Amino acid sequence: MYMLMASIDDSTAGDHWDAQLRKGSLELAILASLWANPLYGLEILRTLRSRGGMEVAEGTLYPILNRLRIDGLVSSEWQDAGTGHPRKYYTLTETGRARTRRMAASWNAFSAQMNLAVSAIDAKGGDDDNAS
Amino acid sequence: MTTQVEPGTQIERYLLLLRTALGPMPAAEKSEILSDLRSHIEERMADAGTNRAQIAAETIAALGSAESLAASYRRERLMARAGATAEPHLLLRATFQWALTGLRGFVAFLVLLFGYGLGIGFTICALLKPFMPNNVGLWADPPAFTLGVITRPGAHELLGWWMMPVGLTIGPLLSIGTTRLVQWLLRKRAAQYREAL
Repeated sequence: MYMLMASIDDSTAGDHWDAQLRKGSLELAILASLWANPLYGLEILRTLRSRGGMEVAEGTLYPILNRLRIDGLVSSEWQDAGTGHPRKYYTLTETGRARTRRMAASWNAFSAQMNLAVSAIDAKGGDDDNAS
Repeated sequence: MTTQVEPGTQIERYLLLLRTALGPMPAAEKSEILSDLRSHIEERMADAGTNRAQIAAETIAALGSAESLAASYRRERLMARAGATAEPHLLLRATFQWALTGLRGFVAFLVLLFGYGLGIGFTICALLKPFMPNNVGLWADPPAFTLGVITRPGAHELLGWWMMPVGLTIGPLLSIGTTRLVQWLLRKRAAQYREAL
């Protein structure tokens, strides 16, 4: 019974960590999606899904975009897309572009270090294989 | 039998709830937020083609309740402002809002009031000292100390003419230190909110 509970706790903690990691990197992912060209909200969601397989809740994206706009990292402009309703396109500002570059460099350095740190671990359970 | 609500009605109802739930916020920013979300929902509906009412309902459900979405907006706004401003009135407003939500915020608000009050008090006393040398200062007035103007006899002034250099040094330092401390507390709170998102 204890083993079962420990296993459940372990799994829950892992899920929580995974969720925190995704949330922490969301700002960079959103900024990076705007690197090549301006996008509107729904396009940002689709880009995140298609490039990184990131499923971002719609109720999470828009408050973050609003903050990035207040912070001066993105600017926004309404455009008539000929669809019967205007679309709001978000663009990286110069400050946003510089910040994104710095964040990406930090991310690359960090992920390289982490790859080295976990390189000994076989995700398929190599430790168990060695033991047997 | 289920009655399908017109998509326009659903959207207006949701946006009205959101407008209320967003609370105090510049009117232009609130309108911008509502226009953003209206555009998003309409975009989803345009994509779907048929059964617009169902798509509107699904999109609104995906955005979350008006209260939780408004709370996300407020958290993100706080993060944008916290620590970025050194303007006392903005810090006071942000900390006051925080004070309404719990004990930590209340303590931070008291720290801010005490720090600014003491800083301003030292500075004013230093400036008033040449004009009221016998009544302005830091007084040992058992069982307490008093900073300011005292006209009754019996209290013992501690600093004398040192009130001027001490007041003009400690006053601004206390104000700057309080600003930095509260900025740090707000940033820390904002980071906690970010983790909780």
